[in-house]
Amino acid sequence: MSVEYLLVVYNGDRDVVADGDRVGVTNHTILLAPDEYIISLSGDGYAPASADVVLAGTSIMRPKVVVFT
Amino acid sequence: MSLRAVIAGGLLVLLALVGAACDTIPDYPNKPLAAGAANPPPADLIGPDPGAPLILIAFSGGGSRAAALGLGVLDELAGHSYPASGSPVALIDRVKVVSSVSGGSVVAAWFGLVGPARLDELKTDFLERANMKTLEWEATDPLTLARLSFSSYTRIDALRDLLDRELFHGARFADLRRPSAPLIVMNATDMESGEVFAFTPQRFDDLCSDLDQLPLSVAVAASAAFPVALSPMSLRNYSYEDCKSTIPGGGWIAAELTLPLPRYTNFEGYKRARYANALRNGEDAYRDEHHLHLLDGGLVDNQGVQSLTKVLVSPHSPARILEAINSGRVRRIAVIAVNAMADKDNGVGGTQRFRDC
Repeated sequence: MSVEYLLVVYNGDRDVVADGDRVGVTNHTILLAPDEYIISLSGDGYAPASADVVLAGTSIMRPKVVVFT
Repeated sequence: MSLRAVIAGGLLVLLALVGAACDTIPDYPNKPLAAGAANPPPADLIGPDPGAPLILIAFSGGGSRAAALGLGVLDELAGHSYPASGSPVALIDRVKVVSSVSGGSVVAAWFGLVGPARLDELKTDFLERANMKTLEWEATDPLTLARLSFSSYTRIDALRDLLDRELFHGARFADLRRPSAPLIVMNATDMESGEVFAFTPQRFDDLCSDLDQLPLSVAVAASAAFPVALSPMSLRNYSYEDCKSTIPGGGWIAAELTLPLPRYTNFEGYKRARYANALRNGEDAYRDEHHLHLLDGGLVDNQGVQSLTKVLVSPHSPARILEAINSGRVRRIAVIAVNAMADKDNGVGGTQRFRDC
């Protein structure tokens, strides 16, 4: 099984949630299995409410980047 | 009376006995969850020191040879330590997940139950005894034969009783909840779907069944239920009864099954979600599983690594190891696969040619 890399950018420290489960924290590269995920953050007051992300073909140097504001 | 009549009469009696045994309804060993309850997740496996190694082990199948090899590996880990702040810590104290199949499940369940201090009792109380001889004697005992014929008692129940009598003494999964105890994942094979069936809190949530109340001997026996020699271990799926609407969790299942791409990007994950959905009696379930009939875990994965991989890399595992890696709470992981396969020379390679005779 390969590993994919996800970087969730947010102006603050939040938990990163994939399909309802915490998987890591914002602004740090996260390891996940290749898959399609609904990504959101803990707490509220950010946008968009969630992001549909397909993780495939990433690398540690080129992670999939998702930005919440 | 002629010999032919005696033989015919004997065969009729035998058929009647077999028929009587097949007609009986099994006593299911698993109990339902209380309404609205969920199986408690495992305790925190990680600990406060990010530099402390996290050790995960898979014990393969292979009968008593696998149990003995697993015990030997644990003995070695008890004899080695790593330098921690303060005093050295034995590596066996950092074994936090054990996945097992068949014979490996004997040592896994025992380790989970008693921890490092009483490991050697497995050798004297179980491994050094002729347990297969005991089973063979019981199989020829007229009382056992009558019980097998006229009640719901089956050959797998005989193995379960032996495990309880000689080793586990009625211990249940709740007894695995010792402080700093590892997560023990025993694996069987679901006869209907061909999927790995792991005895975990998450899987028992799918069945709406209380894992804590299940005897350890049931899981070990199911994990070791070698086909034909032993009958399957049957469980009741309460999700097909009145508690379907109260099953907790499952958000990841909906995501895997409704999003368009998971079946292409992560087919194994999609299959796991599809199986969990069927066990939960969910929408558009691909098969009905009112009852589960479990056989030896070695039919699908004799190494026990499928469940270990799931615990390690699934974001939805209640062990939360992936989250700990991603948040920097654990930096050192060792995975040990203990394979007891006997790779004997079968002589085929030394044969010049085969003849049609």
